[in-house]
Amino acid sequence: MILLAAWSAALASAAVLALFLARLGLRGRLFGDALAIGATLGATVALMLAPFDLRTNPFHFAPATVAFVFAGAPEEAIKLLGAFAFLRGHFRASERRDVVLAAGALGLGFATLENLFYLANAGEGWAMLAAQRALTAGPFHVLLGLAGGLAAARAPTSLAGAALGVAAGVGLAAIHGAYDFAVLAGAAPPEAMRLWAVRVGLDPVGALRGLMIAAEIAAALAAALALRASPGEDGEERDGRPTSSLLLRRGRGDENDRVSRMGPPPTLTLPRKGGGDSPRFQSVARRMGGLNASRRFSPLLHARALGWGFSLALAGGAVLAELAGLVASYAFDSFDALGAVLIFAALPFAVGVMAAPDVRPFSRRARRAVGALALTALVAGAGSAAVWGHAGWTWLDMTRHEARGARFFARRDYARAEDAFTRAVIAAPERTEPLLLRARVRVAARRLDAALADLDVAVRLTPDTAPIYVQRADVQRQRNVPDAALADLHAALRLAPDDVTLLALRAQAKLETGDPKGAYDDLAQASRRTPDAPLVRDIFAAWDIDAGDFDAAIRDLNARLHDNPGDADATFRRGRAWFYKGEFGRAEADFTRGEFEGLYPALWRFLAQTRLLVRADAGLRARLAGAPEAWPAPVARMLLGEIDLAAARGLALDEGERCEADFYFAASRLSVDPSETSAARLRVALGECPTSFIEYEGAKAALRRLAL
Amino acid sequence: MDDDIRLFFGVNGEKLARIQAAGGLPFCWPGLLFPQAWFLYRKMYGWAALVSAGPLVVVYLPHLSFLAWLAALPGALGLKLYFEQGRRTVRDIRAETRDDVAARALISRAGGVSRIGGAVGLVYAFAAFVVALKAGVA
Repeated sequence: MILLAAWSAALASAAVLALFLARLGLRGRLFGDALAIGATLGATVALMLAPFDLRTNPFHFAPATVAFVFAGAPEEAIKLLGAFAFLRGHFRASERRDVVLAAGALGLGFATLENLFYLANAGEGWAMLAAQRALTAGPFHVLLGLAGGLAAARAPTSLAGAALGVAAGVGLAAIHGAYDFAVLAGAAPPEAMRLWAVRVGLDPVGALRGLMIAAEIAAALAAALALRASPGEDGEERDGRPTSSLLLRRGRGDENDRVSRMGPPPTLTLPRKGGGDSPRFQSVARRMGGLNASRRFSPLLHARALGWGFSLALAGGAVLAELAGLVASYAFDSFDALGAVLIFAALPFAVGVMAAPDVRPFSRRARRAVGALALTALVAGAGSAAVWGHAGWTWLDMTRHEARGARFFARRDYARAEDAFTRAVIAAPERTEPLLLRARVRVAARRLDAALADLDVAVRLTPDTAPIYVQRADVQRQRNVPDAALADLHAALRLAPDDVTLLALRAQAKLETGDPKGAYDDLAQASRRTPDAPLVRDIFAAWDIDAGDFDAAIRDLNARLHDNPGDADATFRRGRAWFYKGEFGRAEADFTRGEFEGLYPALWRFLAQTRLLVRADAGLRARLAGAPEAWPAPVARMLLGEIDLAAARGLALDEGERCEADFYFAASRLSVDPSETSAARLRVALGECPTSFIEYEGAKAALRRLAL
Repeated sequence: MDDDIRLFFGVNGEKLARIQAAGGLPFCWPGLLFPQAWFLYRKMYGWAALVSAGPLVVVYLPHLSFLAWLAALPGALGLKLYFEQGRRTVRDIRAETRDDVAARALISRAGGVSRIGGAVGLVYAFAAFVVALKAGVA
């Protein structure tokens, strides 16, 4: 059923492009033959490339190789060959324009078959793929076909003609390859391209999008040029010779002589019925070209209203989409949205403009078309403004600042991120989103009191939103005020009593306030509702560690990692459990195995290696080299002996960071000095550290081991 | 009409005209063995598309993929189909064009053979053979 729906979508998009070609004047047998030739050549190329299995790419061809050697070159070469071999001499191709349009139909047949193959393999994601290909690949093939058709129609039968054909093929293959390369390279541009883009100051992914759009524009311009250079019978006077003499010029040998003697080309005869002899009817029929025009003529297909409707639907739709992209680009403070929309709107716009009836640049009709599009844009803009009102535009402004803030936050530029979110707060003071985002930045910058102030305001604005209480509880935990954190989680649970995650978080808070029994009750309740919830298992493990039952913690974490072997948090926690148990080799293995972010796992690996009496400097130094200078880098430098404990404590911004310096110093000395001095330092750390810190957990476990 | 048909047939025109005159359902060995090549050689593009793209498309249809093996069947009936196409084409051209020389020129161009088409069809057959071989080995 999915397959049939997907194929129906492919055929529907092909029908739209077929209407485009029919509007330009392609009809009857030539149209059908061109489509069939396109499908045949498409099947031939598909079979030729099948042994390389490019979908799974077992030979690991680079994107550029696949794009240019396996897609652009063979596809455009065989389409051009088809236009030269089958269409140029086709008995219904009486004009140069017929060959050009038939080559477009050949491209359509080719693209439709390709579409059927792609969609047959798309599975559940067929609808998105069908829409994407309908807006890009289908029109792209047709427009490149039109351009290739001009080369096929104009090239003389000589060496120069062959050279012209090869040059056209290379040009079309380059356009096609560039487009496919941009698609295939996708979100991971090759290193050379990345370096080049960075050197010229471009974002590599943006550069690929630009390449895709450039290829589409090149295809559209090439097709427009082809149509302009082959205007049909209307253009007879332009180059001073009859364009319908293709049959005569393409003949060979005796046949050519014979046909040359037959005099002027056959005249078009139209039926005299239903107004068929009116000047407009005659004019339209002439533009249709081909000798079969009289029999197959359909006034409806060539109705001016249909032409304008078709053009406005495609070009107008594309313009509206671009306007939406412009608004989104403003809102997200990035050209990404505009670029993404342009990729999908460029070709429908080109097809719509080309299908417009009798449009000439700067003519009255062209001016009218531009005016209509501008009016549509104006009405759309005014309509949006009216519907959205002031609140809508304020929201847009807020979103823009939020997007900028998010970008700075991702770059760890907390000062500028906070500034951007502050502007968002000023733009929409009644909304909580910018407050929550600014609080997050302030937490990252260790400005916990300022973050708390934001969250207090957010709670006042929307007191019935559980996630705000959860975020404030997290800040309270970091401020080492576990009672306040617990109160917030109580409040959150009152709003969402069935939320298992909240139960687990409250259990964690209870554990940190020194209420292991209450924590266990919450965990048991959460476990009954969702036994395998990862967070519940994590906090069960924390409970076990708090109780000194490291084996139980490791069992819980083993189960957790069995379900999700790559989970970095669980791996780090299990490593710590091994460490507390005294199994430093296994701890070191876990600290090495995980795909960790940040410096903390490297610090613990260093601790495990010192306990194993292994020289650990190199690994930590390597991690430190790639880490920012911010905390906990001073701790790492202290462990490496570059600075002493006092200097590290001096660089700490708050009590929590000072406790970390004390803990890591004491823990690193345990292998050489398991004495009262280390124990004293650990006790200091235990007193300083917030109960939510892993260093608190570590100090507690280490003191327990020393007591043994 | 017979002259026109012979002109349409082009290569082997006399022989094909004799087969057509004999009537019945003539069997087409080249069409059976190399349907894509034969249809393209004889400029029967619609049938060429059917036997080329058809098998690649129907393999995706659940329970109907066996239809791919029937691709050679139209090729076996190729002569009958060719005669019919020739008759229709000649009739259409004659109905449209009053000038005899022009009509004969068009018939000649509509018919005849395409050696490049034959070559493309053989490339298709070779590629299909390689794919079948690879599938068999795999």
